[in-house]
Amino acid sequence: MFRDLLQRYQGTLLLGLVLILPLALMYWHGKPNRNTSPIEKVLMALTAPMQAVTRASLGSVGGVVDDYVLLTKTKRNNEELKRDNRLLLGEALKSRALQEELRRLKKLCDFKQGRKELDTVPAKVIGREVSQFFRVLRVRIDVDGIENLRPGLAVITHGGVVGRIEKVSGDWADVMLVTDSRSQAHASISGKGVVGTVKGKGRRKQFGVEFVHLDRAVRRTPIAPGDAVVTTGHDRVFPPGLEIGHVASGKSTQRGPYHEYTLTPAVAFATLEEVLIVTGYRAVVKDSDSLPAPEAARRKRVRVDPANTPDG
Amino acid sequence: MNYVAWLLVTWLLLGLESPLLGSFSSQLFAPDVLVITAMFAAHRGGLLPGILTVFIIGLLKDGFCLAAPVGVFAEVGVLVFLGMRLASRHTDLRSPVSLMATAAIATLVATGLFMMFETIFHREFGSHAQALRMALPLSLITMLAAPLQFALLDRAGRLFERRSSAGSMFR
Repeated sequence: MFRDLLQRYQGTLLLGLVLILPLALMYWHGKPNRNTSPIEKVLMALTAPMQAVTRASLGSVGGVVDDYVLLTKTKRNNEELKRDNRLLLGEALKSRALQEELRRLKKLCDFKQGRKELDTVPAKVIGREVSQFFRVLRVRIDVDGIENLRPGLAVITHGGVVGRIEKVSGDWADVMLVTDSRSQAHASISGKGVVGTVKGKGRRKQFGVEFVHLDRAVRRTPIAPGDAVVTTGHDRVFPPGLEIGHVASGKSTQRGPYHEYTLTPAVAFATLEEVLIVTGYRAVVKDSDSLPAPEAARRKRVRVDPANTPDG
Repeated sequence: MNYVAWLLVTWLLLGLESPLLGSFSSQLFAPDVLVITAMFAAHRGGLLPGILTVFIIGLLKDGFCLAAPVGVFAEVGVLVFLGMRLASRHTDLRSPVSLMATAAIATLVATGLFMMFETIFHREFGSHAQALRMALPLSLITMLAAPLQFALLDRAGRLFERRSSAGSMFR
């Protein structure tokens, strides 16, 4: 009977339930200062995961939107970063150039400290000869008031011989490189006692050497590739002991009584930035040559003879 | 099975609505999904299953809006459903314009009901002015969303119906 009644009024009951139940819930949940009810907990458990999932999905979609759609800010930031990057690259290049200059100057200073017998004046390379036929550097003298600056003075660097001054005008000077076809210097092969004359070939990285044919000496100590060729100081232009280059090949070309070898310069002329101009040097007298101790330390002042040019 | 589809779609929309509108800082302009589903169920479904579906959806919305007392949205949904059932003879929701106009009116009514229940049952409620101020924008945004949600619910219902009939064929 009850079941029949329920079936008959099923709709009405359900309708009443869905209308009255919310009112009861509202009445119950509308009270102030109450704890979370079980119904609220169930509803939270039903809805919160959905919110979490959609939030996560929207987060990834939002990331895509931020990355690929809303690129206006990114573009602006990118342009600013590019500008900053250019500035910083310029600063870095400046810094690197300064570092390189410092390194070169330190080597020059070390060289100057190690060769105190040399009177030198620093100069800065400002240009190179544009002609194909000459190997000339143009330098600017950094020290003011150099009165004795004149053609014929040796120009060196910590690596070795660069050349000699060819022309002077004010603070400017043209330096004829040792590779120039007009250049000559008296030299010897270090440790082998073979002496000769180094002549430029006009090529950028090579010059020839003519050695006096000392058959016995050469036979005793044959010239080999890599042998260092240094100045003797006999030409009264270049101080002794400065490296000019290395023997490139052990093969020689005989011209009359002379043997000609090819050398590789000791100095990289292409990257040369600073040089030292030798205004004078003191020849160090070896201990074996001197008798008394004070005399052993005596240094003999040698004047560079500008007239002693290869032509002269 | 249509009712399950409507229930799931509306639940999904409610779940999307909350974080989505929060992300775009437009939470105050959220369309009233419950009202639109109540209209749809009243128009397309039967009385008892429809009202039960709307009741459950209302409870789910209560779960998403726990600041209001539980049952407010369930009651509002049920009343909107009944009102739409009563007015179904005089309204034609097949036309988008009439659908939008009906949605706007239903939303205004729902807002009024919400305020009434809040005033009666929620002693801590003090946002009457804001509720009044938002009533018109809410009705407008719901009006715009109504055709879209109707189409979505219709499509979801058909999809569910097709699936269930295909499943019964194999049995």
